[in-house]
Amino acid sequence: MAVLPYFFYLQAKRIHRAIDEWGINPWLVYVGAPVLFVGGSIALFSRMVYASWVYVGVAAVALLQLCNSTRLRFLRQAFDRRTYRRVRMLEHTLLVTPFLAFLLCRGEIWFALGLLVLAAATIPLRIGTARSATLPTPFSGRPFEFAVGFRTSVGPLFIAYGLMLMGMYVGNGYLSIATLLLVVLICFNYYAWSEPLLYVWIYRLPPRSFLLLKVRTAFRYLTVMLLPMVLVVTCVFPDYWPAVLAVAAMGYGYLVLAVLSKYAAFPQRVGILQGIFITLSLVFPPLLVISIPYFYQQAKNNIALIL
Amino acid sequence: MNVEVFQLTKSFGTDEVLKGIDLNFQTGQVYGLVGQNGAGKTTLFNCLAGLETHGGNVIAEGGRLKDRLGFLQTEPYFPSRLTGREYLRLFCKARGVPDEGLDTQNVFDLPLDRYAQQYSTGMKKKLGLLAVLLQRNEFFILDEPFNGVDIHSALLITEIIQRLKNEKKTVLISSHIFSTLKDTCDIIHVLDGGNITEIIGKDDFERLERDMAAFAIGNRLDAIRF
Repeated sequence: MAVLPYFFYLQAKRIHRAIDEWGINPWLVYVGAPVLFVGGSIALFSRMVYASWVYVGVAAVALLQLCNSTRLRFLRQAFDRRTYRRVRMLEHTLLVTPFLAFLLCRGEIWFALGLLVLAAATIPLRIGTARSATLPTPFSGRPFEFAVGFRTSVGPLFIAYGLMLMGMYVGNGYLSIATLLLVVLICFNYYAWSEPLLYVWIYRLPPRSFLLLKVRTAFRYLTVMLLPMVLVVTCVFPDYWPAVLAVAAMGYGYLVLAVLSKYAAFPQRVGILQGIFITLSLVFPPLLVISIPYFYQQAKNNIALIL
Repeated sequence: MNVEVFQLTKSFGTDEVLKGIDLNFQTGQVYGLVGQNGAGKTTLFNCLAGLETHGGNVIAEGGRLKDRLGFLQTEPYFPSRLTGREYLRLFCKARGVPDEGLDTQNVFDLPLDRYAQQYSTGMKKKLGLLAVLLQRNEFFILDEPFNGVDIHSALLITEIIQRLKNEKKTVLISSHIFSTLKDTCDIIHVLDGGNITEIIGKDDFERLERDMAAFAIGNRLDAIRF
């Protein structure tokens, strides 16, 4: 088999294996995916005014997935220049073909042409080559959840602070208070992933002290994030102070829940039943009175196996 | 710190990786562990560290081994957007040792304010090693400490191991570069088929190297046309 067909044959094989590993019959996907694609496209165009723009946008995002620098470096190593270009051209063509076909069927000639130009223009693009500069944080003193989390979520945090200011500008106290909750939920998410076992193993602490240390750190850093907001919102909307206090208190409760539930399942991710319990506690905060002690006990027992 | 290992066993499903390992580590000695890829070296290290459940016993003189053990993994993991400095700080705080003077102690001249995940393979290894050194451990497990490091750093690591030995620390190393083991170890254990098949002192290192070369190379290369 020539190199180009062999490359695409391997890609098809990889996709087949990946679907197989999900525990789904690959044929279901081969038949279902085109049906879903066409159905989704029809639904999009029937419900949205700017569907063509969205459609091209979705295709562009998919194209960008093929421009990952590590992946492209591998292709460059594997193939000579000519084969590399042909692989890239074919990849992009194959990817945009279903989008093009649908746009043409709908008579969107200009969008189809635009998509074709986009597919060609993104062939030389490489994403992720630049070495990103280190973002300073006030959380470096006690790594790592808040230091890493803050750097990852700097965009959403800016949006939250922006919304708070907007709420103050238009005199909408509830909007400003809601941004407090948004910041809490962003911080909650810092505990959504599990670090490798070694990162817990290194501690020379009994489980209780370990959990207290993690909770204390979370409290301290949530205060750094929340306190300026709480003060500003309370000053601008003094009548709302009970609501501000209630949201802040709830935020600390949520964060304790995040820390404890993470270590209750560690190093695995939180299971479905535990996930439901966490969601219920978030939706109905008085449940925290039950869920926090429950997860504390689970976390203590679980961490004892590692520490 | 003396550490004794009795009948250590480890299985993954029906695959018995370690079949009753007995080891004896003495204070101030440097031990090497050699074995083919997949022989179970990393599994043995994980079991000694307590990162894997296992059969048998690991008994450390004067308390738990884990609290005084510095474990450098084959491929240290760094979360994204964590700087080298923050990594070192985390390791120090975890053991309750001071985390000041990191720049002075940065013997490998690592760019501590850059994200560790962006380091080269060798730099990651050096950062991992520096972290366990700063923890002031008594027992060190160094899984492939020379992997990917430049020649100057390799010399520095050899000297570090020598200094650890002089400070009466116990070190256990695995390396696929035999010369590094020859330069640093007092005793080398050979792990094969889930068992320690040989325990070799310094005098027999040359013989072990010859045996390994004969086994590894033999007439295998006759199959390839160069």
